[in-house]
Amino acid sequence: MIATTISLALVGLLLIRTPIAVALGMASIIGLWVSGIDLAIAVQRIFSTNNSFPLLAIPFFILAGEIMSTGGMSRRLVDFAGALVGHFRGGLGAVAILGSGFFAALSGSNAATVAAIGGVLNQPMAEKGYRPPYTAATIAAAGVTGMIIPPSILLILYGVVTGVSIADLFIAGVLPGVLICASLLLVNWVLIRHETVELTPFKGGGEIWRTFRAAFWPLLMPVIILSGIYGGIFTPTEAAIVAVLYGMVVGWAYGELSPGSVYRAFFRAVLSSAIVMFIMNSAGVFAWLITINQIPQEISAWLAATAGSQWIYLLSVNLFLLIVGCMMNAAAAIVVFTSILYPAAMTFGVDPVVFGIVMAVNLSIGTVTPPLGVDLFIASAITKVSIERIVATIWPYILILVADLLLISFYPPLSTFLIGLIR
Amino acid sequence: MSLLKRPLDLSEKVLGVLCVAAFATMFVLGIATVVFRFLLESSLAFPDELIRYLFVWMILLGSAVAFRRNMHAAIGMFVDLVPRPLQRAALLGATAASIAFFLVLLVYGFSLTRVVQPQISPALEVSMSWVYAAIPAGALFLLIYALEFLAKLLVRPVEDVLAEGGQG
Repeated sequence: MIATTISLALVGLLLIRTPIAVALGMASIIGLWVSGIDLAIAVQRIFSTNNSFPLLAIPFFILAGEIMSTGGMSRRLVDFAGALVGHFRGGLGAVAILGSGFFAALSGSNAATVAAIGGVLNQPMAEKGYRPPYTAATIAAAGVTGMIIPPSILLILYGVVTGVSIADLFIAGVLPGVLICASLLLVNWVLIRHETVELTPFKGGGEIWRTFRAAFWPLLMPVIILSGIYGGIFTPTEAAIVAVLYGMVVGWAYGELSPGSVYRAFFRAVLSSAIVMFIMNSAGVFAWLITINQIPQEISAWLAATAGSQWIYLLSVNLFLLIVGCMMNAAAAIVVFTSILYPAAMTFGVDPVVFGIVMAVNLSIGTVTPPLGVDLFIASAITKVSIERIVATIWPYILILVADLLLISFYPPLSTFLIGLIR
Repeated sequence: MSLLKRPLDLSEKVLGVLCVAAFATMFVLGIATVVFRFLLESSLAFPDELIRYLFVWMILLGSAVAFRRNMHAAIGMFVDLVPRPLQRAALLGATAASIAFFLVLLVYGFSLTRVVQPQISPALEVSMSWVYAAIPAGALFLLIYALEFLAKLLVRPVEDVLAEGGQG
C-alpha cells in the first residue's frame, strides 16, 4: 500500500518535469503523511545526510576540477597527449581521448572533463579538417572516463550509500578507465578512415620530453591523491582538499589564476555541488522511508527469486540502468537505485566493489545517450553542432562502451586486480 | 513582477556570495586540519565540525540559487512530447509540488530548529539551532524563488520561462 503510493507519487511527479530532488522529497512526504509519521523526520534526515564528512569530498573534487581547468592544466595535458599520439592516423581524435583520460584523473565528473578538453581542442580539430559532428562525438564520448578514472563523484556517492570503502572503489576504477580509453582510441582509429583530416607530423622525442615537463605537475597530482588515499595518509575528503590547494598553487605558479577566476571557480563548484547534494538530501529521506517499510528487502527477495543467477541478475540490472541512464541524471540514479539494487547483488555474491564500478560505468554511458546525456549538451554547446547530428555520429562509440560495460560486469578481475596487487 | 525582480536578483547575489564565503572558509579549515594532523600529530575537533556545519548551510542556500537559475536536474523528455497547453499544466503541477515541498521544509524545519535549541554541539559548544536553521532558511528562499517561477509561468509563454536560466 505504502509502496504503491510512494512509487505512483514519484513517477507522476517525475513525468511532469518536477526537479528530481523535489519529486523524491515530495513522494517521501506523502509516504510519511500516509503512514502517520511526524514530517519533522524529513528535516531530520536531510540534516543528517548533509552533515557528513565523507560527502564533503564531492564539493572539493568538483572545485579541484574547476581550478585545474581555469589554471591552464587542461591545455598542458592536451599538449602532452598531442606529442604522444598526435601523429597517428586520427591523431587529434586520439589526443582528445587520451587528454580526457588524463583530465579525468584530476576531475570527478564527465561534464567538467568534456568542457575542459572540448574547450581546448574544438578549434584545432576544426582547423585540421575534422568535421564538427565528429569532434563533438569524440569529445563527448571521451568524457565518459571522467566518472570512472578516480576521483569519481559517482563512486563517492556509491561508497557513502553502501559503506564500501571509497579508497577501494577509486583503485578499482583505474583499469576499467584505461580499458574505456583504449577502446575509444580503437573506435576513433577505425572511424577516421571515413574522414578526410590533415595529419600532424611526429615532432620527435624532444617534444614529448618538453610537453611532459610542462604537464609534470598536473600529471603528478593523481599520483599524490591516489597514493595518499590508499596509503592511509588522507581520507578521500582530505585528499580532495589537498587537490584544491595543489591546483591553486600550480595554477598560480603558471600565472593563470586571478582572484576573479578563483571566485568564479568557487561559485560554479557551489552550484554543481548543490545540485548533487539537493538530490542526495531528498534521497536520504526517501531511503529511510522505504527501508522502514522493508521495501528494498522485498524487492531484493523478489529479484533474487526471479533472476535465478548472478549472470542474469547483472545482465538485467545493466539493461535496466542503461534505460534509466537515458532519462535520469547519473548522480541521482546512483543514489536512488543503489539502495534498491545493492542488497540483491550481495545475495547473488557479486563483489561490492565490482557492483559499484558496474553501476558507475553503466550510468556514465547515460551521459552520452540521447535525449538527456549531459556530455552531449556540453559538446553541442562547445562545437555548435545540434544534438541530432552528434547522435548520428556517436553511436559506434556508444556500442563499444556497452561492450566495455559487459566485459567489466562479467570479468571482475578488471576491477579487483589492482586492489589485490596493492594489498 | 518587474518591481520584485531587482530585490530578488539582489537576494540571489547575496546568497551566492555567502555560499562562496562558506566554501572558502571550509577550504581553509580543511587545510588547517590536514596540516595540524601532520605537523602536530594531533587532530583538532572543532574545524571538522565547523566544516560540516558550513557545508549544510552552503548546500541549502546554494540549492536556492540553483533553483532560481533553473539548474536542478529534472526529466523533461515526456513534457517535451506533449502539446503546449499540457506542457504548461505539467509545469504548473511541478511548481506546485516544489512549493508544497519547500513549505513543509520551512514549517517543520522552523519548529525543529526551535526544538533542538537546548542541544549543544560537541566541539564548538554552540546551540544546534544555528546549524538546523540552515534548512528553514534555505527552504524560505527556495519557496520565494518557486513562487517567482510560478508567477512567470502564469504570465509568460512556457518556452520563454524554460529558455532562461541554466540548462532548462
